[in-house]
Amino acid sequence: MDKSKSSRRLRLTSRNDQVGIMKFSSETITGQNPGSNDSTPLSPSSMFTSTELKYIKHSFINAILLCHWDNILGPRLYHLWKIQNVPPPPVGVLRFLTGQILSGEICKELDSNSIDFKFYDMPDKLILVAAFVFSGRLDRDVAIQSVGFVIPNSELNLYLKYHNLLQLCFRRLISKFRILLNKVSRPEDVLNEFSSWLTICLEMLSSLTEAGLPQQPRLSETAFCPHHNLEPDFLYRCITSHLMTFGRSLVVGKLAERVNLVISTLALFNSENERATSRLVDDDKPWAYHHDLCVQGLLKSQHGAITLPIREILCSRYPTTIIDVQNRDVKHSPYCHGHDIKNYQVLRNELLYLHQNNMEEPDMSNSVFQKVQQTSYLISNLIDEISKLSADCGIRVAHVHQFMRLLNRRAFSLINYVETETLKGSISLKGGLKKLRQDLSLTKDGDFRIILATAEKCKPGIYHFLLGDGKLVDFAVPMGEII
Amino acid sequence: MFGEYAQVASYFGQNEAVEGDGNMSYPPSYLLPTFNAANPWSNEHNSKHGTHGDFIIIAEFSEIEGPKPLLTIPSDGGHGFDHNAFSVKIMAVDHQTSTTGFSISEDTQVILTDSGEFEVCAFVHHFALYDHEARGFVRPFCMAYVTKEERKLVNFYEEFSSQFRKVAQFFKYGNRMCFVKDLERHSKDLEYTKGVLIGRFNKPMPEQGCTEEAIYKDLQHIQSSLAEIRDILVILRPLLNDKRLESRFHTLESRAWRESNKKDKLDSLSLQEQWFTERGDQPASKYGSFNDAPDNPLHLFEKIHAYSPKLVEMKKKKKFDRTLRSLHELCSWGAKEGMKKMRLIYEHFKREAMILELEREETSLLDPPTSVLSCGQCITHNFLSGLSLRPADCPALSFPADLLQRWSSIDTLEGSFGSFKSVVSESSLTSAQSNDSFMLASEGFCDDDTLFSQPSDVEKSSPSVVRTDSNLSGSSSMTESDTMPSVYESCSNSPIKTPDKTMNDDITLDNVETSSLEQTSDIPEDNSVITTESEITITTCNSESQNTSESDSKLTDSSVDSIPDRGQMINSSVDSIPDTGQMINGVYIDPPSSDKNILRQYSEPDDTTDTTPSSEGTRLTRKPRGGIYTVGDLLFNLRYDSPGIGVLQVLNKYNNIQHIIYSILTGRLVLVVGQAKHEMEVIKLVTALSLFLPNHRRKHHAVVEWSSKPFRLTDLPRIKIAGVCRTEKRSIESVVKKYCSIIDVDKKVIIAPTYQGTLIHSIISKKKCFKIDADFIAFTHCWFMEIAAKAFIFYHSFCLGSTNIISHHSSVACHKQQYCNSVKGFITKLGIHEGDSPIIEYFAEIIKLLQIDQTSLPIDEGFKVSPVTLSYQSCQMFRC
Repeated sequence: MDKSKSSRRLRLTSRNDQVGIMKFSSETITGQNPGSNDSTPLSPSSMFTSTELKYIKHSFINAILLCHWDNILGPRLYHLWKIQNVPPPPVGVLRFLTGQILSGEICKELDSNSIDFKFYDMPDKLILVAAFVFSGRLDRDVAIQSVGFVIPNSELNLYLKYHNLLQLCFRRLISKFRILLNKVSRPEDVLNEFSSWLTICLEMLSSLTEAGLPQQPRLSETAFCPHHNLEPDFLYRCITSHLMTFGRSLVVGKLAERVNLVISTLALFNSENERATSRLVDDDKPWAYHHDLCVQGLLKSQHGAITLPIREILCSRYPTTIIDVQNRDVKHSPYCHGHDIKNYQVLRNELLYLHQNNMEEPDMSNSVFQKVQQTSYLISNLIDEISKLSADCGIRVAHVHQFMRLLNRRAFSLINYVETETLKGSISLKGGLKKLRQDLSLTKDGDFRIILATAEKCKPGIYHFLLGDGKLVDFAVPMGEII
Repeated sequence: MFGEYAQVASYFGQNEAVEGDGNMSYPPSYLLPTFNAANPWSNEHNSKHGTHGDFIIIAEFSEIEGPKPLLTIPSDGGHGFDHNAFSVKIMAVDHQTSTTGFSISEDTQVILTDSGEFEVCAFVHHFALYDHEARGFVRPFCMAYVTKEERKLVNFYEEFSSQFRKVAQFFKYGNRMCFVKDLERHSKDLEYTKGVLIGRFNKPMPEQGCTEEAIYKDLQHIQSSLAEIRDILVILRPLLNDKRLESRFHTLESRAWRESNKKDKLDSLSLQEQWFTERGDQPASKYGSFNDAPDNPLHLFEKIHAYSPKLVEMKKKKKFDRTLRSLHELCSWGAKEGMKKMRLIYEHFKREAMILELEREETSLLDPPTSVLSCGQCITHNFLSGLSLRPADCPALSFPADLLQRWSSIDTLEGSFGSFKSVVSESSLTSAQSNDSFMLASEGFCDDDTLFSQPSDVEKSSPSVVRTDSNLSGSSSMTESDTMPSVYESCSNSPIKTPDKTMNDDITLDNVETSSLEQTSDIPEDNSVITTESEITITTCNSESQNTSESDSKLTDSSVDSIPDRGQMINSSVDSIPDTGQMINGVYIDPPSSDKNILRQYSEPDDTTDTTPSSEGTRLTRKPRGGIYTVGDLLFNLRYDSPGIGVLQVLNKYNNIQHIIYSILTGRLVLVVGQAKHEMEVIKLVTALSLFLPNHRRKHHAVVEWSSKPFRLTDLPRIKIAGVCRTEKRSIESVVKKYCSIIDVDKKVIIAPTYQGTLIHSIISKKKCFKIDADFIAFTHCWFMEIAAKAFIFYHSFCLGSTNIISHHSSVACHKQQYCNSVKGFITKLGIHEGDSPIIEYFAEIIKLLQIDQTSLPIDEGFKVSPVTLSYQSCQMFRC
């Protein structure tokens, strides 16, 4: 018996592609026809446009999709961004992905401002997809839309390291993109604008490959190596502030070597994923500041001048320490709670200005940054301890790692304490912060901030709970030492 | 879906109204972010979507009902959560990618966040099972881990991914076995029917109304079905190749048979889980029982009933009124195993992301296992973790001559062994040799180091070993002291060639470092000597230590017994080393009783194999954990007998407890003594105090809660804290009393060496600050970590570093004084009070002992040597 005939019954599972679909083979808007070689027949609405993003040296992203839920056709691929020199997946796969990303979203509320995230791992297609689903205006309608990043399966580890950074970057871009969509303008303009933003983002990711920090910290590149010297007091202030600002720092200076020394030193205090999203400076490649890179640098001009990207700094998820290596100056942006409010305002204003076509956003003053005044017993003790250890065999680096474990454990202890004292936040802290700091031996302001910042990473919201507005202490006022 | 139009229309209605007001400066509100301060305890306070913690939900896309939830783990998981709606969301997509014919599709994994309706995140694993009754033979299922903490899913993505793949493998493998069996039966049915039809075809019976044509059609149909089944079997059969899983299922099934034959235990192994939907008495639920009809799908292996084929009704149209098989019927034992695994996954991941992260971070400390320092069953530090002792990593190390000299004893192992043999051969071998043997045992490691180190460029002259074994002959008659009579002085070193690993020509600092490390670790070992003038060092064999009151000869015997082993050990490990001269430049000191001099420094290298790239190191790697928890895990699983429970009560109730804690932290045995009526109190004290016990692993039984047997000196080596019942007749042997600290619950007194430091006061002063034990325990573990950091510096910079280099030309007494001074000086520089110095030294000592322990393990099987240091210290009595 004929084999093909015999398996007819089994084909019931597959879709019948032939029914009701008109074959279409005209040019797409960009003059390309990505689907022409594909076996799947196309309807007129199956067309999509595409753009190529250029001058990106290293990209672990293969392609970027923009798709939406069409009320008649269902999931529809609308635009494809290809990366120069990176072959995009076949169109059939892209269409399949479109369906995957959007199919579960038909019930999503259109008037929600949330941007949902999805991540697909499809081993049989050898790809991963990180997708953001949101509602946005389309023609005169509001529809569910999605931007999806297609990544080869082999880059899973890299993706997981970059996950937090990508979330922050792309959520910001997509918020802006939605504003553009909402303004009545030609779709090409919107896409062009978005393309330029994407390019900036991908360039930043590419720079991480070029000037990222080594996965394993090397002592020889840090200030803890006896070959380098950095004033202990300056180092002390840098580390204290760096840890108070959640391990986020911007290092500026004239000499790349000195800047990189500080960057490498501070990155010792960051987790592996945070190190992966940190960047050294390079004399030849003046990368701009990018928000939410953990530790990064900027080089001053010949005359020693630099304009701090204040607005961008405030766009970051966490506060940032700004270190001027040349002047030995260490400042930081407002602490967690104050930063959260500023961060919200800046991001919101950015959207408003975009909506109003107001290109000139008001300048922000340097005054948002404060000098580091806090003292920390933990850090001074650490620096002292490190000086007593041999510089070989990774002993010093191991000691720093152990120090970070200690911080985590103390943060854990603090969280436990607060949970017991406040019945998991249902009542306010009896005895106040002063008692907490005394009980937990955190009388030094710097120590308390450092542990609190560590705790905030473990348990988001606890900083706000303890030091938020209406709570015990105003964030802007230095709290002073408790004796 | 269609309801959405109305929603959109109403939305735009509002929006246009706003725009009509001329308020163009603001975009629609849905485009602007809102300010949400994170709530650290959102799980506890979010009433909108229920107060559920994490749970796992299994859902399927039913061909009759569409997406529907099947069950949750735990069974009440997601209270207040709309399981139906969520199932629709996660099962809305067809994840099968194949479009032609029968094929095996790979599973898809998805993380999704939902900030609207459900406010949860989920890790969803989609997989397809086969069911010969289902449409297209395929039944899509998914299992989803639902949580509110997105970072848990992302940070532990790889773990989730691999764990759920394993579960799916159980399901799918069981399912394939069932499916293949079903198809085989079905093809038998078809063959049988074909036979019947052919019979009819040959003898047409017009009265039945069967035309030839109809029968012919049916036959064709059967033929095509058979071919189809053959095709599927061709694809599936090669996939059934996992013998391990099959035997696992087989075991389960045979166990089920055995159980089912016991009358009282009917159905005890039913596969039926607690269904999410209440199905009570519906027919479907009875499928899960193992004792159902013999052809039920659960019987994967037993073939007690021969299958009798049935006639297949060809005209029957597919009806969708029948309940399809449940997950358990589809997968048989695979489902049982899969569910079991899934419960484990749930138990593991239901903890907070913070705890999981802490656990991951601290688990890295467990490697290498030979240098793990733990306190109160909680990991505290690992002195060699993350260190690289390979030469290439230490290029900057310089090569100080004095270091090399000090270390020289290590590289010339064989010589030392030779000298050892000479000791053995002497008739005057005394009890002291136990210490010798100890030294040799530990020297066993040093060959490892020597293999790596090539002091080829070291110019050392003749291999003469100068041995000043002053008390070798005469030290035997000490009461409870063993002498360790051999005092070696190293004079020379010789170049060594190590045949195996001689690739490396340069001497690496690393080796030097290592060796020095070994040396240093020795020093703290003798800390008791250092701190107290009178001390005894005993080496016990196989934890059956000699009672010191026994005769010397016995002791000697035992130690002699142990010698050949060690000799072998050394031989085996050293045979590659040429017979060049060598020396041990350490000085063995013996107790004051035997000799006037106290030990200074003897060089027996610790094990560093784990950190060196030797194959030995990898082979020795133990399974991590070993009764040690991470702090999050410890507090998450606090039980009534966890170390530290009741500690606040104890600290508040007893005064002067710092002296006892000091004893614990310096390795001195602590006995809690009380009459039988105080048993509970004693046990409480022991449990509470065990929080402070360094390197306490469960398997070592270092803590005895309550013992009514008399406590003897032989118990000293293994026990660190014990509750002892006081009876009329028995009290603690005076010999034991000398070496332990005592809390007497009856008399309310503490007898212990006086604590004069500050560290312990700092933790005791917190006793009023914490309301519950867990918080205090967490804080105490931070405190341990800080102390351990100091010990780490002491270990690396003092013990292994160059600080403690002592000239070889001075007398032993001089050495001791020098050593004590340098320890004191170093510890003071670390900011540690002099009174706390023994604690730091003991922590470093623990690491050294661990390394010795580890290295001697594979060599003397069943004959483990563990050195015991008893230190006599003058005690005081305090009221408590």
